[in-house]
Amino acid sequence: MSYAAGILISLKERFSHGARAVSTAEGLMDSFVKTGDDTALSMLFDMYANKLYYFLVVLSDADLAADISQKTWVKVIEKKHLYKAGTRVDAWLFTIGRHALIDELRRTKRILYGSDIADEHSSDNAPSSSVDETDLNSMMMRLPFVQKEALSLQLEGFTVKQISEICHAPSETIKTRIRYAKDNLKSLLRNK
Amino acid sequence: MAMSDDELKSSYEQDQRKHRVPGHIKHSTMAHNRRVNKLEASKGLGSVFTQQWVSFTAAAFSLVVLYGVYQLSAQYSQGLTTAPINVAVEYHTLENEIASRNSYAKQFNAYTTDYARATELSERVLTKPVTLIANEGEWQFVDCQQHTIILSAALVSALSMQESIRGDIALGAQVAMSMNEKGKILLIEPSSKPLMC
Repeated sequence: MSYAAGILISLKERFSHGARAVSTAEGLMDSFVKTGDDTALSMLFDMYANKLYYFLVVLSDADLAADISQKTWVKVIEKKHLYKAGTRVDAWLFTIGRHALIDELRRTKRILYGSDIADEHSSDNAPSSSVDETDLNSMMMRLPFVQKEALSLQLEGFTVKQISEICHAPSETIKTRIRYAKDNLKSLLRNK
Repeated sequence: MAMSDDELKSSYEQDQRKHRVPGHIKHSTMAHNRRVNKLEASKGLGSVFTQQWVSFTAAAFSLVVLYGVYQLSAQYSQGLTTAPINVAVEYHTLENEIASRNSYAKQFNAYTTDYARATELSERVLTKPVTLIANEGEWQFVDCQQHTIILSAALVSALSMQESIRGDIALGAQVAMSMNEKGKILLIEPSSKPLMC
């Protein structure tokens, strides 16, 4: 291979790598953090807004999920300087959304997150199958908060380690929550 | 009925597609971002103005300090050494002689025709010992700092006529030269007591 051809390939790789970097969520987020760029924010919203919203729907209801989604994106805009470059954007986004939801649930006393955690190792709190389950969403909504939270995050593609960081719980606890969540779902499906 | 992890994920994603985030959230999110950007831009502008104001104030303060130091040093030097001339050769001439003696290396000290009257009003602020080293028409003195002071022949005549040069001054004699605040010679006279540099 000639020297000139080597340079051309090197340049091509450099530019293609640059384009890749900018198109990733992290690249968009970096751009948004630096400039508050509308386009970057719009692309990030399109990438993650539905995922975040559905995660919040599973943990609460449609109205509250919409409200918390809005609050989460406002926080992303106002606290963008707190984003650590290179970290997974969706993990940061879901962490903010989860905190906002728990704060709201505690404020309105719709959930006692602590007592829910106390029940996490029990599979006995699976709901009865008397309710007509039409889809997974309905079944998941019947799981204890911490179980559906951990399972939803896993189904969103987060690793156990990332889920433990988002939920501020040890990895082993997360694994247990996921296992019980799946057992409870199986139980619901069996009784369907 | 059992469900594999893949089936579970597939069902989850299917349900997710049924629940779309309400459209107004994106609209209000983008509007909020524009408001924040506008606010930050105005803050940034304010910060630039603040920085410029600080720089301007600092520069003004420095100028005031420099002016103060200049004034102080001017007063100080006036009090201690009143001769404003500090060059290798001081030329003392009559005003009408200046054109013929112009030189960058020499400091002229021109005396007007009203000088005699002015000397009566001038105050003696400095007296220094000088030694006459040449007397060939113009007089040439050296002071303690080895600065040369030259008096033109015309000025020597003028000073003699108004008795600003007193006594007989021989070559090599050390005399007292008194000057006013402008560095002009008021009096040259032999000293009755030994002069010290």
